Amino acid sequence: MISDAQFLEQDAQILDIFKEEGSSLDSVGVGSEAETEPRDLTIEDLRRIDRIVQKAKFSVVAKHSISFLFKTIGVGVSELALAFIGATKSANLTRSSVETEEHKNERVDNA
Amino acid sequence: MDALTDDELVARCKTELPYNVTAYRELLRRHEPLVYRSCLKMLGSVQDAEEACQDAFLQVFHKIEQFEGRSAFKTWLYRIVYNRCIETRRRDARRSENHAKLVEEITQDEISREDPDMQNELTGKVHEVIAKMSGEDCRLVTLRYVSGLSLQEIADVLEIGLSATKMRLYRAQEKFKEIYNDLDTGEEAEEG
Repeated sequence: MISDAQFLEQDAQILDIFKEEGSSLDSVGVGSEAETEPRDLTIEDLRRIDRIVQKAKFSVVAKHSISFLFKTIGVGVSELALAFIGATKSANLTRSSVETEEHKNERVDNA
Repeated sequence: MDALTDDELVARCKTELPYNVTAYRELLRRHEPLVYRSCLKMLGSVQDAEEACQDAFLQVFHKIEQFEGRSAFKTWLYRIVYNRCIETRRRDARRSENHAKLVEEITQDEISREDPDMQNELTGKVHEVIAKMSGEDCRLVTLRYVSGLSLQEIADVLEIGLSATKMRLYRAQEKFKEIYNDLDTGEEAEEG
């Protein structure tokens, strides 16, 4: 089991190494529970932030466009199906009425 | 916006996104630079770090509604970042060595062309030590000393107990010191 003192001693040593090289946080003490304060942002930081915001906005547009496209395709397909069913039904009706008419004519002829 | 806490910004994001990105931009302004630097240390490549950082914040953008606030926003964010970096490392492990070298060369070119500040991030002795550490140790050391998370926050990110975190971090610290001292000895031998 590691004692708190052992851990903290080693922790402080490594923190010093990071600080020496400037790889650690300067403004916020490591281990503090404080909220992260915004550091001075470089131009490169701002560029990256802008890229993320643009990408996020674009992802929303893309998501909506895709769902709109699928909805449109869905509506188109269902309307086509309805039209097909309607056309089939009307063709059947026409055929059956023609057949009835022919049947009637045949009966008249036979009589 | 500066005066608002992270929790207040998250609450605003929940009601305002995706139409208004002001609060989201403020969260980015506060956390992105450090998240990016942490990714850079964990992944060792500008390209991978930028990609991982972008993906993590896009996930925040799309999933912030699902964030229930049971942990701090920072912990939730770093859990996303941590998992994203693990995924990237796994993907990279599958790449061929030659390809990795090529990527590294291109990346080094990009660093020297684009951002001189980043050069230090990827060429210093600390970076050299981190690059030699195993994935898990590297991530733990980065979370503690680059991201500045407390032991409790790391435990929350890893979703393990405090004593287990302390044990793992202690081992990672020992590994760090061992490699750091080896590098020192090597440098002295070269000079001698």
